[in-house]
Order: sequence, then C-alpha cells, then structure tokens
Amino acid sequence: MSLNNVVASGGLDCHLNSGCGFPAPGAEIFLFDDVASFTIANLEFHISKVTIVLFLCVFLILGFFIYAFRKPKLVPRGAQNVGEMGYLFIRDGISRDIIGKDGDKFVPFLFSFFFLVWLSNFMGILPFAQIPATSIFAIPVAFAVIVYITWVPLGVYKQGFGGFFGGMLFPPGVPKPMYVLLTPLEFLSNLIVRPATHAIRLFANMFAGHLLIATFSIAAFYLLSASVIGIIGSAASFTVAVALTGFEALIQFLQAYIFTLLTAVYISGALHAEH
Amino acid sequence: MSAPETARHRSGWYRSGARRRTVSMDDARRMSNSAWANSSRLMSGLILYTGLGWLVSRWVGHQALLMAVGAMVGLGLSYYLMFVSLAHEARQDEKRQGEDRT
Repeated sequence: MSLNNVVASGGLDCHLNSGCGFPAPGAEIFLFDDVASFTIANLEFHISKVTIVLFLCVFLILGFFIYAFRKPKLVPRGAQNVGEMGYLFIRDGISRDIIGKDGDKFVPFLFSFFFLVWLSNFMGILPFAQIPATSIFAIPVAFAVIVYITWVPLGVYKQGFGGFFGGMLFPPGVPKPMYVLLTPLEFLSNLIVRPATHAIRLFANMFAGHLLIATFSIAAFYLLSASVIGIIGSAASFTVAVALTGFEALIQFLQAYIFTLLTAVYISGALHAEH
Repeated sequence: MSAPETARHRSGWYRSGARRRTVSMDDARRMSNSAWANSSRLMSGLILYTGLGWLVSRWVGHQALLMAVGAMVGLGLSYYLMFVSLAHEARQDEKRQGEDRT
C-alpha cells in the first residue's frame, strides 16, 4: 500500500479531534502501487509489494529446507530436526491419514503447498511485510488451479475416463431416472464448487483477518487523544488488535492445514475409486 | 453386531449406541471424504436449482416465485443425494464388517 493510498483513504490525516469520521479501511488496503514494471515479449510484469512478499516466502522456504537438509544426519539436530518434524507432520498427519500408503509420493506436493500457504499467510502479521499474500484473490486461485489440474488428470489416469467421471457423476444407489436431476448437481459440486470453495475459503479468511487487524489498528490511532473516551477507546482498540493478531496466527496455520488437507482429499478421491 | 476382538484390528473401536464396532483407517478416510463432498453438494444443489428456477421465472414471466421453488427443490435434492450416498456407504460398511468376522 502506498502512503498516498493511506492518506487518501483518510487513514493518517484523520483523527478524532480533526472532526472527520472514522476512516474505516476497505478493499483499498489490498491495492498496491507498482514498485517496478517491465515488459518481456509483450507481457507486462508489475512488481508490487505482494509479489515481493510472495517471492520472499518462496526463497525463505527454499533456503530453510536446503539449509536443514544440507548434511542430513541419522540423529537429526537443530534445523534438520525442525524440517523433519514438518515433513512427518505432513506425511503422517495428512498424507497417510487421508490418502494412505500410496499417498507417499504426493508428500512433496502437499509439503510444498502447506509451507508456502502457511508462510504467505504468516506474512500478514510479520512486521513490515504485514500483508498476507493469500489475501490477494489471484494467489489462492492460482494455488487451487494447480491442485485442480493435478487431481483431475490423475483421476483419469488412475481410473480411466469412464471410471473417474462415471464414479463422480453417477452416485450409486440411486434409481436411474434421478440421474437427470442429480448428475448436473454432482458435476457442479465436484468440478466447480469444490475447487472454487478451495480457493475462496483461504482467500476470504485471510482477507477478513487482515481487514479486522487494520480496522482496529486504525481505530487505536484515530481515537488516541487526551480525553477519557480517547484513552479508553484507543487502549481497548489496541488490545483488541493485539488479541486479533494472536488469533490470526492460529487462523493462518489452520487455513494452511485445511488447504493441504483438502488437496489430500481430492488426490485421494482421484486415486481410489468410490464404490 | 457383537464386539469383535480388538486385537485383530489395527485401529481402535468406539461405542455407537449399544453396539461396538471397529473403525479402520479406510473408514476414516471415506468419512472425511464424504464430509467434504456433502458440504459442497448442499451448496451446489442450492445454487444450481435456484439459478434454474430464476431462469424459468424470467422466461415464464413470474416475479421470482419459481426461484423459491427451485431453491427448495435444490435443497431437497441435495439432502436426497446426501442420504443416498451415506446409506450406500453404511451398507458397504456393513458388508466389510461382515467380511471381517468371517
């Protein structure tokens, strides 16, 4: 967010004593000016804070895990210990539970997703970054699309075209004429609503959380003045902002976990025929 | 269904009403899958048939009466689909439990 945006939205020049109303933040706090932009082969690239934050996440994760496993020892210590804990959490807690033993070859996929989503969520409460990359809708959509173009071809490959779509679109145990009504429903449910909610669930949680923290932080600044209502209101807003930050830390982990869990559920559905 | 010996099963058992039954990892997997599937079925039934009702309403020239009807039909169908798939799963479960004991 550029400083101009903040001032324009009334964030910094507005105060209880200056007689203007409370500058509630809206969607504009998710808009960022370009830091740099360039064109390669007629494709425009715009680098904004969100892009930088996302790339930072990627490099931090790469850096950490390369560092952790650079010289793996049989008895893990330090960073390797943490890395292995993360790996086992994904393998035993998500992959083995949801997909089963044959899900082991998808652990790297789930592992990368979990840590990328978690760290880009965490950027929302990291000082100076303070924007969850996943609160920009395009990014969770991109993640969900990657998952989608993984599990649909995987299902066709494992179960055959007829087997995969037949099992998905024609639920067993239903009288034949009901398929006229139920097949469109199953189609919408499995191929459109599920991937859409996969992206929206992550996006909406991060968007709302960031907005809440911003609202209470601005309120703490806006109300700060030498009056009873100013001191009490500002202190209360600040306390709530701090509490919400802690709460967000929990949500960030939870959403990354749910995103990975759902990815595993979809892959499991593609691997094992439902019958 | 009587209580099967727990030693034969890798995972534990829980008490369901008055009877005991075992839950394997596979059962848990199916359950979590159908839990996620059912929530999206509920949503898409509502969306699809409310939308259809709205379109037919516009076509016929009613205000939005058929939209409400569509919403109810959609919800009904979603519930029907959920019950049918859960019943099917329960039957499969019974069968598997039976195979386990013999």
